[in-house]
Amino acid sequence: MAGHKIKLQSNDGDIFDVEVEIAKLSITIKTMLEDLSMNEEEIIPLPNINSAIFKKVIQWTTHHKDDPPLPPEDDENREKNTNDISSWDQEFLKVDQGTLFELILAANYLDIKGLLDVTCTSVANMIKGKTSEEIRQTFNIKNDFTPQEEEQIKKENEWCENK
Amino acid sequence: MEYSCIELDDIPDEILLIIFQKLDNIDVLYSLHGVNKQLNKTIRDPIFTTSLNFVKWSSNKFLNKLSSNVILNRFCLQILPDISIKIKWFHLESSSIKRILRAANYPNLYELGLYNMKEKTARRLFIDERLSSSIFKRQIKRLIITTEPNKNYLLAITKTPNLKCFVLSCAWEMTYFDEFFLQLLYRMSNLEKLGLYITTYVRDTFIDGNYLKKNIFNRMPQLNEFSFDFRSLLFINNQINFPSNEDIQRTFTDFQYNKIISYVNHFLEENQAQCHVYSYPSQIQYYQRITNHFPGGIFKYVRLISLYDEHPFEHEFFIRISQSFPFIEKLSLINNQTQTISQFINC
Repeated sequence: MAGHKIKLQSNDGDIFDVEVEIAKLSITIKTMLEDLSMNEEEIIPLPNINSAIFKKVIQWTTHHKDDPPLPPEDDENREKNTNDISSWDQEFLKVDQGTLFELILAANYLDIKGLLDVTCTSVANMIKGKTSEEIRQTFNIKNDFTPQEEEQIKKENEWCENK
Repeated sequence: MEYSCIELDDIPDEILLIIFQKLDNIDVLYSLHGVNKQLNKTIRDPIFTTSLNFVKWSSNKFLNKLSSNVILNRFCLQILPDISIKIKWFHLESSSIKRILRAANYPNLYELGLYNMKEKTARRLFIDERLSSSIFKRQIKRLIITTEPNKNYLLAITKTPNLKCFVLSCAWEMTYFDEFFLQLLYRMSNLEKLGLYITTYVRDTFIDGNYLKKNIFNRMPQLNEFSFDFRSLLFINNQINFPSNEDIQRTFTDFQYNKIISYVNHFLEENQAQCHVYSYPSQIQYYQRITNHFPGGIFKYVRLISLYDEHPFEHEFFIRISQSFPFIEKLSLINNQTQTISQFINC
């Protein structure tokens, strides 16, 4: 029923009234309501998502509620294209890196394919074209190869170069 | 909103795989190889290391995907030696074939796509034992080559006794396919799968079902899969009676394939006749000289098309083209005739 709402609770205790049709963009919530016969009056807990992230998720699903279903995965032979993020999504994803990763985890937990797709594409764009050192700087990753291991790699490279 | 402290390191592997699969394998390996131990392990997944495509199709030609020697060096000196055992399929462009194949031993490589092959590269590749001819003799079972026509070096391919699958694609018009290439094919007697995508001049008759039965099927007993796209071009001279499209279709009646498409065009201004026959669905990436007789269909691999006819292209024709080529990136058109049917109906 259009406009009908359910209550969803984030892991920090906030309760959100969300339209059923928007909430059902999450396959996880849809399954809870339909297959597990959860009462729509019950408060549905979302133990993996905090309220700040859930607000963003609702913002995204509200904007995309009338989107057509995503086409099936493209043929693997097709060239990968990471440029097709809509301008609204680009604006929506102007967040700090931690929030972006939390959105990915939330989209994965809630099983919202479109949100998972666009957030993963956004991270892929941050990776594309960077050197390994730039990747370490961008994502604050520590190089955990020991000097001995790095020396070994260097030796192998020299061997390749002289081959 | 408060800043979150989750980092890439905290993302579980199954989601990292989703992220990395948004990128080409080449991008994944270039950026993430050697970053840290965990990522090194993740990107060694067969998804990213089985098939490496160093070639992109752009503006009517195959280009090297690597934009600089620095990137090529990183692959040849660091990445490929590390993952060489996992690589089963390479797509390589002529300018980097030599370095990439020399960068490591590839004990499990069995499929190879070679693009823009040049004679010098081919001679090294197929003949020079120190480089890689031993790979060809022992390992390669599937070979895709795009090349300029009429290069004798292709004979060297016949020294690959294990070859079971061979695909030859030539975007340029070649002179008289049968004079050389049939002889080449006959030397590959173990072929089970064959793909030929060729435009060729012919002397007397078009390439049709009878031609393919006589010259390919009857001569290659192991062959069980054959996909093709032939455009045969015939100078008209004084010849008056050309086979019609119905005549051509009849020659394919006992073919085992689901569908063979054909159409015939006469270009009086050019003194030329063209017969286009192909197995459908098609895997070709370009579709050249499409005329008004184009029968439609879906061509999801095609990125480049050219349109040519001596008769006008009407609005309806362009609608068919847009439906048949949903992923087109480039279109060229030659037609000197004004449209005769207005797309707007006057009431």
